[in-house]
Amino acid sequence: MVENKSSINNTLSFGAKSVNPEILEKLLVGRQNTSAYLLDAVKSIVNDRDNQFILVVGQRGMGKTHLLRVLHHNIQDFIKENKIVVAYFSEEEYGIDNYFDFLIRIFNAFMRWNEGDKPYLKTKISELQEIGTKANREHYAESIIEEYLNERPLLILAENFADILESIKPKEQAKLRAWLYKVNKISIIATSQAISKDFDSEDRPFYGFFNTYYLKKLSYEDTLSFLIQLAEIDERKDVVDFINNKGKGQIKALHQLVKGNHRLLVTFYQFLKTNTLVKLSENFIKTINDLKPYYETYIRYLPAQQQKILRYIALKRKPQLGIDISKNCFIDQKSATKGLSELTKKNLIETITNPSNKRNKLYDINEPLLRISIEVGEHREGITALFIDFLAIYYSEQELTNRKENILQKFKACKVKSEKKDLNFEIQAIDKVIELQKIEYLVNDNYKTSELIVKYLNQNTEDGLLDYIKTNGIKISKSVYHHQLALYYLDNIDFDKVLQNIVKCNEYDNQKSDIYTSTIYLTWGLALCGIANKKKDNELFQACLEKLEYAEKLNSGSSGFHMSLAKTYSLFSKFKGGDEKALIKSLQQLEFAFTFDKDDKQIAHMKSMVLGDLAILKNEEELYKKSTESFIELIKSNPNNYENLYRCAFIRSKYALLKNDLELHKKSYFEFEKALELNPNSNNAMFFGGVELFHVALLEKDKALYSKGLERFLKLLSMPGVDRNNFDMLKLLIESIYEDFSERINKNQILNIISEVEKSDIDGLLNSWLITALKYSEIFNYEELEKLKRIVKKKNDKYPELAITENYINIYKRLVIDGEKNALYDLPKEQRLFFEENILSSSNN
Amino acid sequence: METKNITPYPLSPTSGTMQEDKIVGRENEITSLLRLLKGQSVSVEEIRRMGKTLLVQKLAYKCNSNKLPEEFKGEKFKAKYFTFQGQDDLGHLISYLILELKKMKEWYQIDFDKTLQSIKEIINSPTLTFENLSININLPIHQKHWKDIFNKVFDDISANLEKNESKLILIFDELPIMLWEWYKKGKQDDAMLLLNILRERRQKLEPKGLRFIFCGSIGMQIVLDTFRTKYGYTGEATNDMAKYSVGSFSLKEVQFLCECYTLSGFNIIKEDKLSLWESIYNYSNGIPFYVSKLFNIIQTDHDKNITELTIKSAYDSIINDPIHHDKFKQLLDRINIYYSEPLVKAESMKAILDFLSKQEEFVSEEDIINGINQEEVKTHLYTLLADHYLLREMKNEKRHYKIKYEIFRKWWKINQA
Repeated sequence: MVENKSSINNTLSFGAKSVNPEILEKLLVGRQNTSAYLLDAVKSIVNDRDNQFILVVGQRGMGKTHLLRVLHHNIQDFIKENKIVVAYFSEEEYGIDNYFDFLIRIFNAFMRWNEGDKPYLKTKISELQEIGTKANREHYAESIIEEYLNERPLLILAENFADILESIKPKEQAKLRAWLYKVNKISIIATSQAISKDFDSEDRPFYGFFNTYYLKKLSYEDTLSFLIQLAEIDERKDVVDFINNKGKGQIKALHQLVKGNHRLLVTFYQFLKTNTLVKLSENFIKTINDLKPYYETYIRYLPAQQQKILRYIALKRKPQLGIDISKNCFIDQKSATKGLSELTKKNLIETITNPSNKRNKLYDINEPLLRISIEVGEHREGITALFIDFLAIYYSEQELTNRKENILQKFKACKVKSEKKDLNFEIQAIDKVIELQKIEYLVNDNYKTSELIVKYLNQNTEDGLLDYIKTNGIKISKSVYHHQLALYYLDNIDFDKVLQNIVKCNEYDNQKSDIYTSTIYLTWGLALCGIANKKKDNELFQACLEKLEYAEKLNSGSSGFHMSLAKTYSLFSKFKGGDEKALIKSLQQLEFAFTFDKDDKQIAHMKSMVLGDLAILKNEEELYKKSTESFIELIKSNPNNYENLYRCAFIRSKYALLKNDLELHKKSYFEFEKALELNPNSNNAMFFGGVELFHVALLEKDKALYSKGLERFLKLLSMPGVDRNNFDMLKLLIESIYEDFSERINKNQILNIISEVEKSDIDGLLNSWLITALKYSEIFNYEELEKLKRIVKKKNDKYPELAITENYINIYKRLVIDGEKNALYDLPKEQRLFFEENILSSSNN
Repeated sequence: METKNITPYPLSPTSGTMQEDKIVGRENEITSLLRLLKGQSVSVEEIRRMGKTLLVQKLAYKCNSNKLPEEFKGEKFKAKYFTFQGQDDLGHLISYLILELKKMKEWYQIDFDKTLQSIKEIINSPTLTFENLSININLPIHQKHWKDIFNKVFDDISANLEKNESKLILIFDELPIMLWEWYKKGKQDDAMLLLNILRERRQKLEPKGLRFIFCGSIGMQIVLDTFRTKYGYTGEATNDMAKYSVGSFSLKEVQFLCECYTLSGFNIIKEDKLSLWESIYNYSNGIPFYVSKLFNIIQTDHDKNITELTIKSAYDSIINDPIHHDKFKQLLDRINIYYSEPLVKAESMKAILDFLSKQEEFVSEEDIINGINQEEVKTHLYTLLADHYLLREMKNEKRHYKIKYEIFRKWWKINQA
């Protein structure tokens, strides 16, 4: 058993080839199916004359060598019975430079495993050495192998086959492939750490040639069985008992730490044996230092750019966004994406869907131990921080508390100064871990929590929310609680409440996660923007920008931050009555947003709008064209989207006004009409469509169009949400129709307008509208004038100046209806002059 | 169909090479090819992993082992398969051809040693002779003579063919890709010369009974177009050859293949067999490579149990799981590798595929043009059609297109579009 123990402790962990195959077979935990699959493949070569090309893919330490070794052991009978010839390559076949070298390795393998044939093969090799040209040598080597095989099939067992192919380059690979086709009884069962270009690129000879078999990571149950097998071979009954009972928690942690990697499990098996030792930290440091060279081989052969990316992600210690990786590694985004994809292919990093934005992927180191190994020597806090991480994974809070208690007692009893120091180090480390474990980080649960909170608040007030949360068993930190509330209020446009909650949420945010904090600041900024826009407050705008910029700095990996900034700048410009700098900044932010998804329609829509605003501000045709063309693209891609049509028409109408361009007004009108078809309830489309109609009528002096416009605005009066602009437009139309065609407005229509003004919150305009009525309407009769007077009387208290207007109505009655010419002189001079100029100039003509 | 008459045999779902007598199906294709070959040479083109090599290998095997259908008995067909991958240059190629042809000595009673002797004299290079081994002549520095050698060998063979009233099919597998590799290494002159010589040989020796099959995953058209555009090549290297494209398996062939695979140790409920084979046929679109992949996944992930569920699950893995994307990546790679000059061409071709991948039925050319907003869509549609990506149909005298195989369409839609 001494031999076995030594195998486990020293050899197995780094070289399955030299371990007794029987032991290896016992340790085939979780790989029995793969082993059977490979054996079946060889049986099919022997029994059915099939040719097999299998590539077993798995990371270092996942048991590839182990599998081939067991396979070779299991097919010995076939070999002895001359049913198959096997060329079992060394694990590291260094120096295979070309196809000929590959053939020579087949010779070497024959000689290594078949002592009896050695002399014959040696003679053949010496003949080969006599041949001058490369092509001749290749051909002769092929023929020697073919001759040696005679009728038997050949099976090549090769490890790191991707490396072999890479070394011999596509040109020589093609020769190998051609030879396989020519001989037609050669099989290859090979292993590789990952799929390389030589297997999956269309222009490579071995494209799609192999059946790939991906080794799966060991499950927790497999890990458990594997460690029990190890302990049994090691004759450590105490460890077997420990694993079966108390140790299950640790095994779970260990499983998580080594991610089901066979070889690392063997290494960490030592930890289980030393579990009762106090000096865990010492063991840990030793193990990590032992593992460092092993992990260095992962990194050493990577291109520098990929090394840089890997190192960056490792040191960040949490998943990173592609854009951040690209920025911080100073690699352009295209190369970074390529590097990340290569590293993912090599299984060195894993891709995670970003919970806050599914389109932006996060990248993390695939193996915790790889991260730790990179960190050793790099991390400013040295190995202590890593040890704390390790403890946090390895022990539960309760176990740590017990452990601390245990060590404290030992510390008290200890007399040796150096030992006391070590014990103290461990106590401090445990304290830090306990602190670390208390922090709840619930990003993944946020969606569920948020749904519940929204559901509750939609039916109840905030008061009972905490109880509701408790009774529903939701674990939530204070910070997350307030953030969820803030988000709820943001949705409900209650910005003040957003601010109240966000302040608290920031106060409790002890998670110090950039991604989380950035969402707090984003919410904060948006609420401030809402308030600033409402209050038209410059300072609030500045505060809002400050928050948003900070959020973006913390987490530049989402288009949302950039879109929020863009929106704020654009609102700020609007508030300033047009601000070129703000609009340019808005455009810049939109460009950033596009880097996340160049096809995002929402960003494109916003960009078209901002371009349009800028075009109008600068009166620049090129910008106008860009804006509208971009809208047209959007409309093409989604013809049923109201917003795109409406905004396009809007920008066009403004520009048309700027240029006083009839054609543009017409175009804009038709676009508004189309938008209205899509959304018949849209006041805005109806109103601005009406405005465009007016402009066209004005420029073309078309009476029918005037009338159509008038109808449009009259119709709008009956729709909810009508504002002062509508009345202004009506007035404009009434005046224009009179001026261009001397046509007066229908009495009923204007009476209707006046009654609407009276009812609306812009009743302050009543005076002006009464004058308009007297001036442009068909001649009123007594009854109608009485009606006007009643309206005046109703509002007299609120607007005393209406008393004068009432007087005008009386004078109108006497002068216009009764023909009492002197009536005019009952007015004081200034009122008389006003009456003559503003009422009589048309009404009594 | 041979598959009707022979009993299924155990076969593992493998990729890569296969012993000739175990190659399943393709009887109809072999008959069609031989009918063409009665009168002329043929160029076989299809994208990778469609079973071209196995088809021509089976053809050669059947010719040489007297297993051809009755209608071809009088033709006395023999065939020799060559794979041109890895042939660095003309020198290597010619020596490879001569060495391989020498193995046919017993067929034609030709004393190739005479030829070899004359070659030896021509190039006057030191050679070694081993008992069972022919001389390998490496000619790179003697290119001016290779044409003479080549002609001599083929003249000798053809004279014999004429005398015996027989036909010899020389199968040049992966010829286009070899020419493409030469072009990439700046050896385009060799490539163009070879094409011209082959054409001249074909025209002169076809009447005597010599036939060629050029076989390749990239079309000769790609190579010729490149030579035309870049070097003003004006030769019509293959215009006198019939074109032949390898399709997918028929349902019967898939059924036979499934039976063979099952015999290698799969579990199945006998009564369900026919409907399961039909499912496999439908999922794989009859492409044998994907049938093999489905079985392979069922073997490794589903403990060799063939059921509707495991077939569906294997299919879903092929389509969705990135570890299986290499099985489709060629669709993208081909465009990037062979059509990226100018880049806009590749982009436009991809845009067409993006668009068509979202359409289950044939789409009119007009709708495609309107739908993708790219230049020269018509030309690129034709290229995609010629390169076996698309199918074309005429409706109301208008061209309509769709992606050739549903499995490709789905993969492209999910993973590329």
